[in-house]
Amino acid sequence: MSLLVVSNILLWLTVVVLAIMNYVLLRQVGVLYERVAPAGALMVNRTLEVGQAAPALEALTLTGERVSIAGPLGGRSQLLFFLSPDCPVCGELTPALMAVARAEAEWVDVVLVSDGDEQDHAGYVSRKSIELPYVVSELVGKSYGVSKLPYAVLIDENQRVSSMGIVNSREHLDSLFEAKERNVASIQEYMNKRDEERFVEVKS
Amino acid sequence: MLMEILGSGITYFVAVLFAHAGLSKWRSPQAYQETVASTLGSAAGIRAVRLIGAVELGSAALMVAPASRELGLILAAALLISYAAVMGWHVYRGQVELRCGCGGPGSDTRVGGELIWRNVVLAGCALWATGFAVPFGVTAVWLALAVALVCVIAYAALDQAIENRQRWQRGAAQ
Repeated sequence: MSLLVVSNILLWLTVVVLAIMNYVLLRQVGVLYERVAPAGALMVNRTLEVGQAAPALEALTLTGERVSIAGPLGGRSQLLFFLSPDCPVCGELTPALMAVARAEAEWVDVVLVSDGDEQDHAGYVSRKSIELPYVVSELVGKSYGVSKLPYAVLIDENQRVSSMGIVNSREHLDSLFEAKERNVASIQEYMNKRDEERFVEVKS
Repeated sequence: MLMEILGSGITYFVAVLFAHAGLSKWRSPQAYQETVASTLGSAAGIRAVRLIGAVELGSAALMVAPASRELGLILAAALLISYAAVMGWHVYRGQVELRCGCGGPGSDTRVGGELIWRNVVLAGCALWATGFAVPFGVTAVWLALAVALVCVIAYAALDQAIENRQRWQRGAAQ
């Protein structure tokens, strides 16, 4: 066998190996996309369950306006965002919250809820330039079983709890809307269901 | 001789693609049901998916047999162009969330412009390959198989790259 033939065979083998390596690398990128797919807001709540009627309450905002929580919403949804001026993550999330409130204004009303001294909250609202309804009420937090902050509860147009969870990022916030859209309790549940379906598909 | 080897390699490559597509439709027809129903109507069920799978398998078999190779390639090109037209119709109607099912039942690739172009290029390659005779000799067949193997891996890599790009775009849009 001449040297040229041997070198040709080796070159072909190299091309095939390189092509396989390319594929494997791209597949790994795809696997990474799957693994970092929406980390949904963690649902920790001993008082409420997704699907149950949200506790209806009346409260006053810092500016003295009356806000109906889970009252008749006129076909709109309501997002209750529980926060505290002492919580650094809450502060980081307020610009994202205001952006979300603007972007989703067609179907959802965002209400910020906290408890404590009203004076502290007024200063916080001013410092953070918060333009959303801000309620200071311990009762709301207790009624909604909030034990960790920042926490959000999405109430649908039928005054039922649509999704909820601890919100540490914009992604978590989006996951609450995504869970409502996909009609699942949380994005984790959706991801688990999807993985199960895929597993069944491969098995069949 | 070189063109004949290339033409034969492309024929084997397209045959592998169609065999894989047809087998996947027979093994997991439910994975393709939504895509087929969105085109042929909700009445089109598992049977329609299996029928399409059978046509794809038949086309692959025709391509492998030297006597019917040309017919198989023309049938494959016609199918590829039909799929491209169907995808174009879905894209035009804004149904870009529809899974294509091109890379098998586990694939997350959605219909889109890049898949339409890919199908058009593949159909062009299949038609181009009809212009060449089957090469003679063991070495020529081995070379054609090597060409086909590289094409199959490159196609799988391209499919994955398209899927990754679509995922990136969906993530960025959120």
